[in-house]
Amino acid sequence: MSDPERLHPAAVLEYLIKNIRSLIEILLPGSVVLFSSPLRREWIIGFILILLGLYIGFAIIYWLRYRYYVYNDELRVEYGVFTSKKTYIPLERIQSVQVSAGVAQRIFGLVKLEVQTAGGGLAAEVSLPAITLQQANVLQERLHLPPIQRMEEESSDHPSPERKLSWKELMITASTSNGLGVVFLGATALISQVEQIFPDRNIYEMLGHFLSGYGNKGILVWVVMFLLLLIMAWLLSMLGTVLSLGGFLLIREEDRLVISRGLIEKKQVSIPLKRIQAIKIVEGVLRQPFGLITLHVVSAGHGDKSGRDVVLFPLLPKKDLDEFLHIYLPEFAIEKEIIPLSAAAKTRYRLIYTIPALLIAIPVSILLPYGFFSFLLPIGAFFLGVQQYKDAGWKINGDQLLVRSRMFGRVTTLLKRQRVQSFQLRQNPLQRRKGLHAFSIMVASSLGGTNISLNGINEQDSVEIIDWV
Amino acid sequence: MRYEPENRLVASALKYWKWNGFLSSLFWWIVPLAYFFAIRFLEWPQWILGVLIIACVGITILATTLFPKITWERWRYDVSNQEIDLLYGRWIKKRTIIPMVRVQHVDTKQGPLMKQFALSAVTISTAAGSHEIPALAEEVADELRDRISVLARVVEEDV
Repeated sequence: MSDPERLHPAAVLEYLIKNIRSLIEILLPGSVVLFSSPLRREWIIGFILILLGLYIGFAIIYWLRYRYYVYNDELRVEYGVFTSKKTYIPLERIQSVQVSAGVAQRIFGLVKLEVQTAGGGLAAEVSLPAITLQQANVLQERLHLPPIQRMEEESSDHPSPERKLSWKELMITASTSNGLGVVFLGATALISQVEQIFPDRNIYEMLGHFLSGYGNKGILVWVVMFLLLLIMAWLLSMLGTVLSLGGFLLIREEDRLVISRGLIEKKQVSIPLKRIQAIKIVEGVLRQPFGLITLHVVSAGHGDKSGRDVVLFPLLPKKDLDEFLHIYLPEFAIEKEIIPLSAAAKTRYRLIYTIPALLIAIPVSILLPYGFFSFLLPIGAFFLGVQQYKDAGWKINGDQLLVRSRMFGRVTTLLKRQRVQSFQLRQNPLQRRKGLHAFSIMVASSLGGTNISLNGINEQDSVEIIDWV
Repeated sequence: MRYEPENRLVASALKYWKWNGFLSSLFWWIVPLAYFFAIRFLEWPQWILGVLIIACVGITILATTLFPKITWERWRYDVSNQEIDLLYGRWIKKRTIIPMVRVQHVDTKQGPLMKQFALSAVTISTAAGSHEIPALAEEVADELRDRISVLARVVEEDV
């Protein structure tokens, strides 16, 4: 048993900052109404000050009442100003502990500690918004977790294997994370080339003529504005990536992986190896040509707000993958040769997107001027389908299953037999005629389950996979 | 090669599905009914009412005869010590296998219409979603629920 502990007093500040928006939303319109009323100014200011005082007083009482402790193998949190609330979490139900430090925490050298269980969706079950590193470590010890790495300094003489994301890699990650920007940068580069070949023509003006059909400059302005907006959006998303992935550090401890990241808000998450459900090797459209990959882990109790998997490492040359897995995830190994889909599945992949795209393109080309350009869509869809067929495949090696498929980026998933929550084999009437099957495997994840599926395997292979499960 | 599961659903499940299909198909009759009232106030063509009624008759007939029959004919299940094996799907044939060690909990449920036919559904939940055997005789469902629950408890493992 440990004595009930309070949060650091800075939690009051954290609470005030967190709720400042709702405060402004109430105070601003309220004060406008009051000031325009015939009441005396001093009265109004006094009234607002009293409200503010009550608000701060509330935050202080909230802080005073907030206690946490470990008792009877449970993490217990008791809080609440008017109604007293108690949350008890059995220690063995805790799936992950995430430690982070935002601006408010870093000023006081504090951390925020969030506890996740497998149930209950994305929000953390318990969030301790401001505790000292020492308090956090005491708690970590009680929860049978290793002490937290220092959030600030670099862990230099660490005996465990570790890998950092260099600034160069960070920049490559950021600029290839969003396909849009590169496409438009490429387009403008191309246009400037064309301009040099035909120096007496203004290519933008030509584009404007072309798009309007009458040489109306008004449209040109809109096009340029639109392009500028897109470039701005891309730069912003790049900045977002830099801020969230900056200082990325992966450490392999005895029985867990510790990931630290973030430039302004530091985040640290530790994932026990035995809680890893599957790993995903993602080759994005823009990264694949350069032989670069991103690694994700699927784990129950981790994952960000949009339900995406945890990034294990943002950017890795493909040739380093074997070595990387060997050091950080020795249970997993990538297969060089994979079993392709049945040849009978080719038709499905060729038509699956092409037909809907044609259904859009045909009316569009009839109804709109220059609408025939929309036929690029079904052509693109056809080649995407062909590529998807080529990339897809699977391989069983002992108790590891590899599944590779492509939506846009190519994703290779590795999972262990003992992680399979359920296995499903499907066959629609068309597939029955050709003796084809589709399978999908559910593994546990932060959103209650991740589906790993592959369409177009033949009868014999389906039997092999169903026997593997 | 593994064989397909053997156990069929009980015969009264077909009867239940027919009734269930009939009652659910009544929902579609709202459309012609609404149209019937609409044309009393609006100048909409009458013949559409005929089309809607024919379509609803078609839906009701299919929902009370063919659909339940296909579904029932396809359904098979097996519960061994290691896994639960389900075969089902009206158009798309689906085969689901749930390893016993992954079962988190299992429950039975019974709606008012199911009670009339002495049927129960067994729901098997894992950490990543749940699966259902939709219509078993009450005693069979209870026995199966208890059996799965015991089997699932043998291996206490982590997620």
